[in-house]
Amino acid sequence: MSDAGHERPLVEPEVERAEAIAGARAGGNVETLERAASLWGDAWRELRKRWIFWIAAGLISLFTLMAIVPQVFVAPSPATHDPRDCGLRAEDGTFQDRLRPSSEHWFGTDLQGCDYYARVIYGARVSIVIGVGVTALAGLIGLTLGGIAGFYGGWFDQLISRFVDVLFAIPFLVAAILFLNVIATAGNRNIGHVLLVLGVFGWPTLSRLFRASVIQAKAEDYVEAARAVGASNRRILVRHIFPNAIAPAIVYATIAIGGVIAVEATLSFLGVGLTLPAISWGLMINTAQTRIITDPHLLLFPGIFLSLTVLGFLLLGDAVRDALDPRLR
Amino acid sequence: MAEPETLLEVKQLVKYFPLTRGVVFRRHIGDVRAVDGINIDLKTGETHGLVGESGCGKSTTGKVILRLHEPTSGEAIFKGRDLFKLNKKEMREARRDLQIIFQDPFASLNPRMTVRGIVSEPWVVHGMYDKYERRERAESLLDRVGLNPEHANRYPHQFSGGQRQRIGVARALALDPSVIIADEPVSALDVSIQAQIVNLMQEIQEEFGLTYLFIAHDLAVVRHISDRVSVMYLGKIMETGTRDEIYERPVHPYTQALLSAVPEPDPVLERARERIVLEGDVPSPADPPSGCVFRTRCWKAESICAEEVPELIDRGQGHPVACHFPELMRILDVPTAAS
Amino acid sequence: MSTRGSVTELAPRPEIGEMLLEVENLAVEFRTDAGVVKAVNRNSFNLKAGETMAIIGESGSGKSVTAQAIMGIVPSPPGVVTADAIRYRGQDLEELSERRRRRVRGGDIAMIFQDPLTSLNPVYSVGFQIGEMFRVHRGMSRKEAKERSIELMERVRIPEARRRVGDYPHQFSGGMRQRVMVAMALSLEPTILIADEPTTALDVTVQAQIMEILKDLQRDNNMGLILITHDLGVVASVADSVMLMYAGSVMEKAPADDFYANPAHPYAHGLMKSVPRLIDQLDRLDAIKGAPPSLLNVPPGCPFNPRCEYAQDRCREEIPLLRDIPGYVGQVACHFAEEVRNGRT
Repeated sequence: MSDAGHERPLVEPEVERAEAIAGARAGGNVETLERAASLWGDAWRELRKRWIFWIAAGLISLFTLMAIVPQVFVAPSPATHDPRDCGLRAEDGTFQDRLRPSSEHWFGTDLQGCDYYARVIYGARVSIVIGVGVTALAGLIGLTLGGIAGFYGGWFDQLISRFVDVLFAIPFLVAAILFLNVIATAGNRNIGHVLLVLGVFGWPTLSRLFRASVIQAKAEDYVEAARAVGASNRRILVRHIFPNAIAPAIVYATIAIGGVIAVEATLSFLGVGLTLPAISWGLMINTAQTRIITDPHLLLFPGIFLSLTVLGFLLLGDAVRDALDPRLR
Repeated sequence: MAEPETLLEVKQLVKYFPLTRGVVFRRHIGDVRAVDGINIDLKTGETHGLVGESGCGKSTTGKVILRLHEPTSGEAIFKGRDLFKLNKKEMREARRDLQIIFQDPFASLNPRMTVRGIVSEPWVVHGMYDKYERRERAESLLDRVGLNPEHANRYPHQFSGGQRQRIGVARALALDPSVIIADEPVSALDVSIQAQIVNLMQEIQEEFGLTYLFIAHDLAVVRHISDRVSVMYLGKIMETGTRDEIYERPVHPYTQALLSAVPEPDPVLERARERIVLEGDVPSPADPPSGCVFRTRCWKAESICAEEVPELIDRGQGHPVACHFPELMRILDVPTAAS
Repeated sequence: MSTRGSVTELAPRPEIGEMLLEVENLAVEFRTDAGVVKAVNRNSFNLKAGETMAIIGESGSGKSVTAQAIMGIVPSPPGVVTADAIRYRGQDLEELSERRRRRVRGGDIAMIFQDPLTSLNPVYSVGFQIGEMFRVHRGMSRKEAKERSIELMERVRIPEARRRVGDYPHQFSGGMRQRVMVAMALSLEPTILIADEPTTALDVTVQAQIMEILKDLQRDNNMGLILITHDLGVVASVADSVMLMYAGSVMEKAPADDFYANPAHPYAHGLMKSVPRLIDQLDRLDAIKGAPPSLLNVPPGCPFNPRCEYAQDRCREEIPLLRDIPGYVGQVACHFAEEVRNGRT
């Protein structure tokens, strides 16, 4: 049976089949089967093609590693490896504060004489933990509520949506500052508090987004088909709605991580987020703001690291959006 | 030969979609009368064509019978039980016997499930067979509908429209139903593929012992496949009978206009035909005309048509018609001989 | 009459039989990431005034792209249009500047599309959109344009035109919207009207109305009409000639009556046997096996060969060219057209 020079066509199976029927049902085709290509697989392949993705992935991996094992990054530094090991005076009596970057202190020292390089490296932990943690928390709340509102409609939808509207009406920064001040006074605040507050105020957008995709997915024929077969609501939600509605939420969440990191830095900068002795880029920038002319390195390094981290997530979000887009139908 | 018995009897089926106004507190301001009291008898082993133009309510009818939309009122007696009175659990069981094929082959398959997953889902939902049996049965079903079973791991977007529709057919067959409601199964397909699917449906009908409710707007396809036909307009049935009665001896003016409007791929015939051209637009189903819903476009309309709703009964022509002035017109008899 | 902006200096209204359009070896390719899509291969045809030509094909056949190429609206980064000539009343369109080409578009050659809902702008009234053609291209005043719009709406038989001229597209039914599209297309009195699947989205009772309107309007102006469709029935009554396309190539070209009576190409024959009919009932539908190919992977040789019951080795190797065959008025692109025809009759 001639294979008619068919290469790897995408939509040839019917013709192959027809030939097999028309001719003898002899041993099938020469051509072996093409690997199955799920939509996620296709998206991944699309993602890998984009150079933005690789840059973003590089940045994010770098800073995540920095957050997980800061020791590794600090190890090669000749200065002290403990960011809190600060000495205002060296043994020989000279002041160690606000030193310029040198071969001993790669990023110089800060006001207390701490090695700035170590502090900046350790600062990554707070940012990544809060960025990912807040998004995860907001995701949990937002996807659940948005999913319920979108899928069940009716009173659930009314209630949840109006609640979301109210939350939107509250100016975020004002509310965050208020709550953070109420929950824990300065000095008592830790990562947990900040995480909680940001998470609680961060879920409304995600829930609205997800609700919209759920409503869209719910209207598709294949959901009706699942109902016609007798599938339960739970099965429909998990197997049919969720995988098809999650894509925009993924894009948003990725970008949101970057946003949250910036917000944390802002809050800390304003003095309402983390406070000393926490190590946060925002705090460092706060301290550095009055000394931009005299000691620019105090602003430069945390500033650059912060920007690059946020950039990494934004770029990733962009790349993911492009990769998922045509598949979103 | 004994008269086949009635498998599914739809009585006075009504489906209204409420129109509301307001965002927070919704006021009910009217209804879209998608289906306004219809009766259909589905006899075992037959193909019953439900034909009509867009907006007539035929697709809604199919979905309401399956309770994909809840009916506003009416009954659907299937194998002795009223489907509309079943509780959730009973309905789930009943679904094994009543399946549906959708119109849009691109939208009716979950793009993130493999074809095997899609075809096996009915068994998973009902807890039937173990993993290996499902695999085998899925592949055998795919083979039966004309697809290569080796492609069971592929995803819907890797198939053409005709093939996806075959997957839809396979899924409908999975639970071995008695009745399949086919909602415009070939309308979205290329012309050269339509015949393949129609042929497939006919082949499997005998083999699997299926009864079809074939919903479509294409009169030629319906003529080809149906044993009996009902013609729908604006939520009501205008005329119903055997295929030959409807196509060769239509007595309702709407049926006649419809038949007259369908073009035939034969220029000689076409030139010899006389066309009935309906004036005006289809009224909105939210505000249907009083009395006979077709009267606004009917050339025979008289005052009684606005006052009294014509019942769907046999008025002496041999089959039920909902018209006060039914009259036989052999639309498809064309004077000159065809080539 | 105000300045016409016409391409040639000929009198606006063509004489019956005058050659309006000559297309020679039109080819359209799309260069995409996935490969080169050959949407149209070496398509040649003519259109005379007063003539109706139907381009019939399924999805991917290239029928719509052919029309777009004539209009000059093929999106040009991925699309590449080549032709030996596309002559409109003797003037080669490809030689024109983009500005003049634009004036031909709409002014001399007009096009209507399948879905009137998306082709009409929802935020402007129907009268405004029709009137725009007059205001922009003819420099008419608003009032004049409105009067002409109402006239046109009456000509396409929209009831109560004067009252409805201020209504918005969504207030009209599908059939009415399509009439509005026709009115817009005709406003500048084009010599050629291209209708791309004009009735596909419409109900069958409305379909008949639209086809009748198109035919009447054509008669009034000696317009050339190109109908693009996949529906063999819709054009049977109105077409003078038929061009059958498949996977970008022309399979058969013939006068309509001869084509429908006894087509020569196996694909055409297969279609006729597989389409269910209302009047001439077929006992069984003889489906053509297989499916139309993806344009990224057109089979070598004759594109129809994998599905053709008569296919031979030559069909898989050599592309058949459109040619005359004895005993048939039309032209066929098939290596074995005579044998197939003899074997059948």
